[in-house]
Amino acid sequence: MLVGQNVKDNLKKHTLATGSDVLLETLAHQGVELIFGYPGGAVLPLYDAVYRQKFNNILVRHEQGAVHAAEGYAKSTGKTGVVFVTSGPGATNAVTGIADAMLDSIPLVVFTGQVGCASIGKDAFQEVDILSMTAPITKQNYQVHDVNSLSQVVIEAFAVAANGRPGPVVVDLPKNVAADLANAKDVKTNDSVVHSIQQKEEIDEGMMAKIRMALLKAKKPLLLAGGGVIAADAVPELRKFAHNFDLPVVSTLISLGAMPATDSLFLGMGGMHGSYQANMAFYECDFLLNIGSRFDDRLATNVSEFAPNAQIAHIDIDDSELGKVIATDFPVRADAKQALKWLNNMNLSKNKHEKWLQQLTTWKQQHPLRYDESKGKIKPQAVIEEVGSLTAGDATVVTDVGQHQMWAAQYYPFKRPRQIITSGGLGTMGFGLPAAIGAKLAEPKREVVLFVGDGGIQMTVEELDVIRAYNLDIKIIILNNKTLGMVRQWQDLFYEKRRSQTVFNGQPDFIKLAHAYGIKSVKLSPKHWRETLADVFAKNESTLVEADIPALEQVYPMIAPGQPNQVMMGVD
Amino acid sequence: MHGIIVCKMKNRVGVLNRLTGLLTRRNINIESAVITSISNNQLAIAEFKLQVADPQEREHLKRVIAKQLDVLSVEWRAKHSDTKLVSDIEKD
Ligand SMILES: Cc1ncc(C[n+]2csc(CCOP(=O)(O)OP(=O)(O)O)c2C)c(N)n1
Ligand SMILES: [Mg+2]
Repeated sequence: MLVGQNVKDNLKKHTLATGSDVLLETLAHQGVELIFGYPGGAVLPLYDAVYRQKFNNILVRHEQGAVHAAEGYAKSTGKTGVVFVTSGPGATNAVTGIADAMLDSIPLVVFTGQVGCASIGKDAFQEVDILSMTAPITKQNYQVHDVNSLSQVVIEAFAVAANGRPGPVVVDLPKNVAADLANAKDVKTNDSVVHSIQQKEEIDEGMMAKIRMALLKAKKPLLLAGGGVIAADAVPELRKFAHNFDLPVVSTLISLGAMPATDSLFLGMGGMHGSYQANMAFYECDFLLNIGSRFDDRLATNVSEFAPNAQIAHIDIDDSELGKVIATDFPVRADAKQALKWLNNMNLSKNKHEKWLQQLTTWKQQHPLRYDESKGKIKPQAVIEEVGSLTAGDATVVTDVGQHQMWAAQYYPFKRPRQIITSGGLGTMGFGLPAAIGAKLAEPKREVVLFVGDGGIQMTVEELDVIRAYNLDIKIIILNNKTLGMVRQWQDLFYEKRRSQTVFNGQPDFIKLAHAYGIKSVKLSPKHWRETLADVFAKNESTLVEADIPALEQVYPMIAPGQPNQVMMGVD
Repeated sequence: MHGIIVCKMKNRVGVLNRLTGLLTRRNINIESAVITSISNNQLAIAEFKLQVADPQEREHLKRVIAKQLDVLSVEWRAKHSDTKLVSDIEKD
């Protein structure tokens, strides 16, 4: 794919092409159909080109919203999300989103405006050193000093963001470079850098053969499928592998949907708020094959006692993950798809481990996820289940961060990859609303549901205006416990119920707030809430739904911090 | 345990910033550093003397440095190289 040459050819059509035109041409050749952005002084030339070329810019209301929206777009499609922000405060406002994308391996290219080259380092108006600030939260970052190398840098940035383990890339664009005139014949277009980035390494066949042997011998094998399986588009291969060899599968928060919730081999999410059978399976298994999960501390809650009875194989595209947290018997650096294809091709007769599968089923039956109904109250878990059935388990489910996020992960019947859009690694409150906007713009035909807390929605609530402006259909469900529920839960359990700063003494009227933004809203009543929800989902228009839920509801099961996976609270 | 981590990398703005950032983040002090440009300034070799005791951490540090896009190779050594060693590296 010679992006560079195409850009060059197209640029010849412009009589005067500025750096900004070169940039937009290059984006178009990368297949970018929309960007999320917000203008400012340093990006005036860029937005002038957006105006000239009628490029589709989604005007957010805060730069953090732009990055989360781009993440939602990227997570739901696998395509690279693109952001434009101005220098200084525009760039610093984008930082949280960039960090979020880094931790969850989401491909983004973020263009930050910068003061003109001559002013850099002189504390010019709205100058910040965004390269130093974003170095630890990007795969790579660039500052472009020559208009003729701009196209080349952009092409490289896209290759870096999407190849290998995906992640965010920042391109800092000084104002003069964006305004400088480019000459098509001088525009550099060397695709060789891209080819070297795209190169894949050979899989370690020797180690894979050892994994095969271990699988053959295992009496209690377990598969842990992480976000890497989704990123590599390896879900069909995963499902085939699991079924060919009757392997039970645990997912992480990020990889929910890799196995359908209804699949008999699927044990649910593992970790701090995971299912009983998933966590018990970690404890009991004698062989654990982890594909594309990084053994996060919310999953492997106690490293030294994690999977104590198992040999562990770990396949990851990023070899700095191998052995980082858990000593691994069989480390393999590989793309999840490549590895699963290899595994599917190997000669492995169905391993008989019926007793193990039986044990897992018994655990599932004895200790399913459960909650108490309480009369006259709306239970958050019931709301999520109801939405699950109203949307036939097929909606794109976006969450914010907190208790509602965990309930959504536990009770929504996910069935396809890229269906859950949530902030995992950074746990960023305020992620949900803008991410839902990005997901809806990416796939307008899909039902998009946002579950959000009364705390988190206030962090990026301004983006309601984008829903109105672009007339999007997003169902926003506020699970209102009038508290910062997840923190309050920890205070109740581990700080003797000292609810320091976690109970709101008063809240905005969310129903009126939606109204102010021109969005329909409805409050659920304990008596008729199911009918009201059904009405909401029968219509193709945005509605903000507020459900008052019990303030002290807890998320269970829960593994207390530092406890091993098999020690779960709230399981009877 | 002291050791010298030797990184061969592209000679570009910001590469060293990324590497030292990885050390700062882990609260690792750079006790001494030797940085030389090679291959007509196209590449550079940076050697940092560090105190990292845990072998698992040493290996992890090596890998996170190695995955930086502009880094070509990384290894641990016992001593800073003399000029001769640097020219050896240049040969391979
Ligand atoms: C930006 C940010 N600040 C603080 C936190 C810490 N935190 C995690 S969950 C949580 C409570 C969230 O409350 P709410 O949005 O009402 O959701 P709930 O837990 O009640 O469902 C807080 C404060 C965070 N994750 N992100
Ligand atoms: Mg709340």
